[in-house]
Amino acid sequence: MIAARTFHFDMHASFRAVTQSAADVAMDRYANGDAGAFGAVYDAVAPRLHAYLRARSGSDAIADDVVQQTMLRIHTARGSFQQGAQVMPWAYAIARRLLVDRSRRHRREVLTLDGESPAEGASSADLPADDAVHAAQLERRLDVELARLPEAQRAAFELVKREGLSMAEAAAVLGTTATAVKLRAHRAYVSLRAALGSAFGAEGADR
Amino acid sequence: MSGLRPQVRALVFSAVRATPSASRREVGRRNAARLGLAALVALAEFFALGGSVYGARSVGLTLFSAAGWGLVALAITRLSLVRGPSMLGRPTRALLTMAVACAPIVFCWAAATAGAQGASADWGLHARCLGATILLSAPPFVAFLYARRHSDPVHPAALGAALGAASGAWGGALIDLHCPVTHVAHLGAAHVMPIALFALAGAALGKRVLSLR
Repeated sequence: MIAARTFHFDMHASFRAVTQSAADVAMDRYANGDAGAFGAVYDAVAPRLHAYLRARSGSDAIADDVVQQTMLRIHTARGSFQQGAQVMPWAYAIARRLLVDRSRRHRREVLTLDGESPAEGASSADLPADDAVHAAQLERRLDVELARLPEAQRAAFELVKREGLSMAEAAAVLGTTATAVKLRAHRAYVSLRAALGSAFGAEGADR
Repeated sequence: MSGLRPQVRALVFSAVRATPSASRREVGRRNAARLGLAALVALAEFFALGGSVYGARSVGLTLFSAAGWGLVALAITRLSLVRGPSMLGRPTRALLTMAVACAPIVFCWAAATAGAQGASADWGLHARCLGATILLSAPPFVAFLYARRHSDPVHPAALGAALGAASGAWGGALIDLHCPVTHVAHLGAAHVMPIALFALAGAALGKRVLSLR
């Protein structure tokens, strides 16, 4: 299962690498004053931000709210967008900052897992029924275990493994070094593997 | 998994239509105007203080010394004000390094190009020169903060510190042309110390002024 998840992450990373350039081009046009390009920026950026924010907050309502705020910040700051820059690390950084600010204001609302069902991975869609159920269960357990990790490790793991950012991009988003991100993501991976050992072990035995 | 609701798109587009924002060209034009105005104000202050005074140093050595100050100021301004290839700006460590290293570097440069050590100035002259350096550093400081206001989502305090150090270095370059006192104690107290003061002020103001919120 860990192999399936890794493949899923890699597939998403590749897909995102393709769409990323489209988002950057659209953002570049928008920064140059092409108002119509905002739709393309929104379509490329907002769903990914939403998935990231939902995984971080565990709440659709919070994710919706922060996506709105982030897209509005991108709009108001469009004139500062550097030619040739990437929009996604910037968007993640803004969203992350807004979520942190929000969590400080509403500490009890954010970073809890109760209330809504955890996110299900898209990876289960193409799997056989038994595997899909197992994947969904594992995804839920993964979310629970992720929530137990220290914030720094969880943020690094999510940006690198879930969102497909490079170490350097994740480091820039988190305001730290690539080495620190690598270390945090690795520690998160080790912790998750230990916590989910039985599920991984069963998968390993299947292979 | 619940996805992004279509209503969010409608809300965002409605807010975007209601909120004006400047294009890249407009932002560039405004920032150029602000930086130009800051340069004019600083130069006006410089000439109001009396312009260049060479004292015991030769004209060539004075200009050489001020050019070194200007080079450091230009480098830090370029590296901190312009984000580089990433929208997240320079790494935090690079910004902090610039903010911390600027004062020692220019102090060593100023001491090396001071020429013959004159008599140390009294406290009154130290204070007057310190005030003049702060006055000369203030216009670029305000312009830099204005040019990057509400733009940094990652490390606004570090960016503010680097911009403050750059402002102090610009003020130091002008005061180096104006002040004939070359004693190291005076250089440290009146010419170089404002760099640290503006770096601290930038760090303190950064979160409030530079943060993208």
